[in-house]
Amino acid sequence: MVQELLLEIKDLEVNFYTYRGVVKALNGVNLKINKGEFFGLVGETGCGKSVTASAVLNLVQNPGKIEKGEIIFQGKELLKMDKEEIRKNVRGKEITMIMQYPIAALNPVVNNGDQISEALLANKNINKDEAKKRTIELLREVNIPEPEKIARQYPHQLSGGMAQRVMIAMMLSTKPALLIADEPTTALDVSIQAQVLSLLKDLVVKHKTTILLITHDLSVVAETCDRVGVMYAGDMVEIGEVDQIIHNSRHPYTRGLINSIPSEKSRELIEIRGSVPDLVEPPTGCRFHPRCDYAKPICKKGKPQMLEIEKNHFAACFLYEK
Amino acid sequence: MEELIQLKDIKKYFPWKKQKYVKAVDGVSITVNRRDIFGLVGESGSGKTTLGRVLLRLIEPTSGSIFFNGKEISKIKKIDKNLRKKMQIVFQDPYSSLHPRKKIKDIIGSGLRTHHMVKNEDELIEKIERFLNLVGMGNEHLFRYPHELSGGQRQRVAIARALILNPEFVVLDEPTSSLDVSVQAEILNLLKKLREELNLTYIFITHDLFLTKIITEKIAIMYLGKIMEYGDTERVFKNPMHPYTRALFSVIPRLDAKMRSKKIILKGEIPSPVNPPLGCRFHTRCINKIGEICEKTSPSLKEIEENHFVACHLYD
Repeated sequence: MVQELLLEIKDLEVNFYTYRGVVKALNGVNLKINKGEFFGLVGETGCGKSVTASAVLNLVQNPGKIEKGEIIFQGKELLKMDKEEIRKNVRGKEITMIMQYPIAALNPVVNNGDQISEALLANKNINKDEAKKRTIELLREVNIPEPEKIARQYPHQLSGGMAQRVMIAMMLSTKPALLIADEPTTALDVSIQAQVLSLLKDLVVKHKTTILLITHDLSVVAETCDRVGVMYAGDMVEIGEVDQIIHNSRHPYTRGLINSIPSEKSRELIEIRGSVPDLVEPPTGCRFHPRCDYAKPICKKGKPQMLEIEKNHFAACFLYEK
Repeated sequence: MEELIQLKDIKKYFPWKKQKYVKAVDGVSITVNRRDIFGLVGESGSGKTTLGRVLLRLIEPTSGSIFFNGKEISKIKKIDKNLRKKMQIVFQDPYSSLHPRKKIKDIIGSGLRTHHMVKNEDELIEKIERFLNLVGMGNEHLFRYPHELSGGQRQRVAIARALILNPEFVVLDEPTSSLDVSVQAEILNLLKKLREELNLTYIFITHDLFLTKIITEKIAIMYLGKIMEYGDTERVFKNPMHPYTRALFSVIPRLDAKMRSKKIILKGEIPSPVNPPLGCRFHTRCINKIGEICEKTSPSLKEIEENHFVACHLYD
């Protein structure tokens, strides 16, 4: 199967100008997402996974600034596009996003149905009745029981899982080429999380939607995604297919992360020594070197390049440089 | 094994509108042995946090008895200082459980002052330093404020604050759920180490089943205020019997594809605790429902194998 490139991020650098100093949030991130793919972006707090998503949607705001890099989406370079054009034709249309707290993301004083219809009316040439009908269809598509009733209700009457479905329905209304899901299940219970994840997976399989899933939970990615990117302190450290990352991870950080996740087999949890660096003064060279057991003198000096270790599997680590 | 805590038929109903109650905990009986880590597992709304607080009498039970060290503490009017010292709690969110305008030394030390456990300021500082080091933090943090610390460090401070009074028993209410996984590993290893060093007993409240497998000796799985399954952690994991436990096990995301079984995706959501289903509370979502009995009679906990109790009509 020939894979068609949907989104390419090249050498993206984002800084935040705060009172404490310049936070170097993204340090040259590269990423490619193909059409119809379920891609997972994993990392701990502050690694830059959400900033990456904001950059794609052109939502990096003051004091943040995109310093350099390219974001190419469907052949168009987003960073060179007019802001107004992005708002009109890309964000909320071609690229949509669902958030961690759906109830906070929904408008509390507009009922669920009207919120979805609004998105439909703004993006399509249809009349109100058609929009209403389509809204009910969309709600049914995301497995909401009694969609007519839910459409009349307000967001505060929904549980977290239901609200997330309403969000998903709204974001699908424009048939986006890319759906970004930023920690969509973090606020939900495991049994509800399973429902939402299986729904997202269905979307990829049935509707050929491309999903970029952002999460801190590698197990969620392992269960749902096709490919994974692991981020640490503003750097992409490893990218590969799910099996490659889980069973044959090469970057010391990815390995540490996997060892610290509780599973059925683990008897004890192995921690990664030290803590995540302050990105105002990030470590020189490889940003992981102060916590790395394999650190060599060279790790302090240069930034390691992404190397292809096996087919489709890349890691940025001096261990693999010849 | 020596019993430290015994709960008998604990109920906690919160008043709700007119003549209605939220039945947060509805008839729970458990025994916690000394030096054990007891896991209390459940989804949101299962009553695990309420139970943890009732246990310390931070909130008063509606009915039932609590025994601590063989003494009934649910009957005495107020937990006195001596008793309070022996039972401590670490809260879920270290961002809201530490006073933002107090220095770390005051946060950790205020208990010592209240309980007159130190004679003078020098002794106070010395003791605070010792506990700060015990939880793996340096003395440079003494005069800092909580906002200067990371989430993991804050949780360490909360742990030091609980342990400095030399308690016998600590309730850990989701101590790691707001932390990153690598930090979580650090905190859990620390808690395990401290249990050995200080002879502690923990109640570990969590929604993460795998965590309980690694650190607990016994677990109780709660759903809508009732215990569904209860027993030695090893036995429960080897042979989960309650349909709810099985469903929970099947939906936890797993790293290793080989460990995945067919997912039992529960339909719908947890019903409201104001109006819980009659009979077995789980029957509305259960895939193994046998029939009318599940809708009418609430199953009691039965010992199916040694130290393994299940509340389900399947095993009648």
